[in-house]
Amino acid sequence: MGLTVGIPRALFYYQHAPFWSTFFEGLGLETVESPHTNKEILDLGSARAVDGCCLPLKVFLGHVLHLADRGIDTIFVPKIVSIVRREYICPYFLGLPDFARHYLPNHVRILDPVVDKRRWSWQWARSFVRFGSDLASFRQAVRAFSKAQQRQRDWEAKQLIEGHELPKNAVLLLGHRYLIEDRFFSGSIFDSFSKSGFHLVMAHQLPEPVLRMYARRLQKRMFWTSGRQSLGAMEYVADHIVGVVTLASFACGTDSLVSDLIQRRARNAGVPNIVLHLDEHTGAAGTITRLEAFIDMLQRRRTS
Amino acid sequence: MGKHKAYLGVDVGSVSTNLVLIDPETDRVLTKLYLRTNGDPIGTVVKGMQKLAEAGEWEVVGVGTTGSGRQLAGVMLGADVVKNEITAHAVAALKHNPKVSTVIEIGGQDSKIILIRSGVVSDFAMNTICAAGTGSFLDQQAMRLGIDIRDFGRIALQARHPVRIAGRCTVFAESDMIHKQQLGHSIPDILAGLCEAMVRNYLSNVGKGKSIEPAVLFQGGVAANQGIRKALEKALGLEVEVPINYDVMGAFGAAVLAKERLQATGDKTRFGGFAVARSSFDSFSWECEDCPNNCEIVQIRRDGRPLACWGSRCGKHQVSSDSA
Repeated sequence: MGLTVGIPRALFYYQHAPFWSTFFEGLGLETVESPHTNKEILDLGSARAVDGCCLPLKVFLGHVLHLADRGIDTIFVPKIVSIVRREYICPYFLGLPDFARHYLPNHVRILDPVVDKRRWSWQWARSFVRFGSDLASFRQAVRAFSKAQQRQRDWEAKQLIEGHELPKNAVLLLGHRYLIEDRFFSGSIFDSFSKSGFHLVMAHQLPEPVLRMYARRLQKRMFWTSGRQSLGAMEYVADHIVGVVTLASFACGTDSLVSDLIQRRARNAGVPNIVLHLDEHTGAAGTITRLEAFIDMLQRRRTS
Repeated sequence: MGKHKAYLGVDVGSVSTNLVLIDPETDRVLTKLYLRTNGDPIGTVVKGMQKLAEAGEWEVVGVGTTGSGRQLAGVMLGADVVKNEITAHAVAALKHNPKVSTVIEIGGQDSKIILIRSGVVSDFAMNTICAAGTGSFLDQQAMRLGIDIRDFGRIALQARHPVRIAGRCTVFAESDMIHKQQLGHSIPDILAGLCEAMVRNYLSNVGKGKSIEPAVLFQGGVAANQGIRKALEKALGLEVEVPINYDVMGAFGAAVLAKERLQATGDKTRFGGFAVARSSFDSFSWECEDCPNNCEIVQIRRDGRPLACWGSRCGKHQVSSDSA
């Protein structure tokens, strides 16, 4: 058929990429991913995006525009409403396909299956099979779905810390996965900590059922999935870590609330914590100074 | 008379560059310099070294640098330690008063709070996006009112009824001040009001959610301002101490850190000597076009020879004395 699907390396790419690529492979379609975030992509996105967008959304737009500029005229932007039953994600995500369309020339086609597990966990199976049947046959779609789902599960299991045992001198790194896994933004954090002998642990390396269980300790139910996972992780490991770093995006509604709850919890547990805010004007200097000071603090505590 | 042994601490900040020499035995400050950076950190460091060389015969046995220009000063001088401002200020405060629990530091463009418990930094915060309520703003307002910044505090202390000024944002604070002026409020009342507004802003922005316990040390260039100190004491209900070397605490801390490091490792200093003062430094920058990140690369040259180079994300071109 010769259809090539562009996949922006942004947002949910960082947690659903294995599923996406396997699914398209199963349909017999070729995929092209945009490169890792770089300054050109960031500039491309922030120059065009409406004011008031958060940084990750601008980066996403940069990736989409980059793909379109390369002449790719079919881009995959799922409409993600909810990824866990009875929970929501940031409301911007359900508008993503339209958001992208707004900035793209008319001939670019957006593929936007709906993922909404809020009421029914298997909604997305039906959604993807229907979506896949439009691009290939029903049979292919069913097979592609089950294979993709298996690949995704295996990949997620591989992320978990071996033996569920926290390393020594563990520092918990919290934040939206699309921020902490985009090395353009988080690279300096990983470098600084590994140089100084601390191990960063992230929420997705801890088993989801455990995070869910610990999140129940919160006074009120946290209905944003990413926030619930962060807070669950914080509750779970609070007594076994030497520090917490929260990477938050400027102008992110959920972060403003979640990062404050994390800070309070850290203070109660007597764990040093720091919140690093990112925006596209972020000079690396400010972040690095804060990180250095934070690591100095951890080291001096350890030796005293 | 032989040469004085001393550790050198250099703090290259946005507004001021400070140099301090401390006694290796007593940690006493032997001499200190407070210079305006005036946007030329390289020139200011060179000038500072010239002045130190004129002030006496020194044998520098170790060098520490800090401040936003710490890397630059570090390669120029051959620093043994290059440390961030927070650690340097905390170390200096602890040297001054081992019982310190809270350090309030307000400088030219940033302000920080450092909490110290049992001799170790337990928490800190820096102003993030906004520089409201830092030295530069006070400078600017003093200039607008035609007052010498050194008289600012003294005049503010004469206030009888400090006016209320919105201190959230310097732009609005300024229009608020002008408004109060036009209504006929006296200059001392307005200045005192400004001090209180700045302190409110500091406490709600930087000091947010931090438990401020005595002893409280107030350091950084703005600590010279008695008006701010008084406003801090009023808002906190605590005594606020301004250490004698308040304006060079960062440099002092850097010198102490250099001493600690060299004593721990037993290494000799990498200090390049006072010849720095006679060298000519310049920098050369370009945009690397090897990948779409287009990093801005800066190369520092001494007498035309490249000394250090930094600025890339990937580590390419990077040449620097790695004395972190």
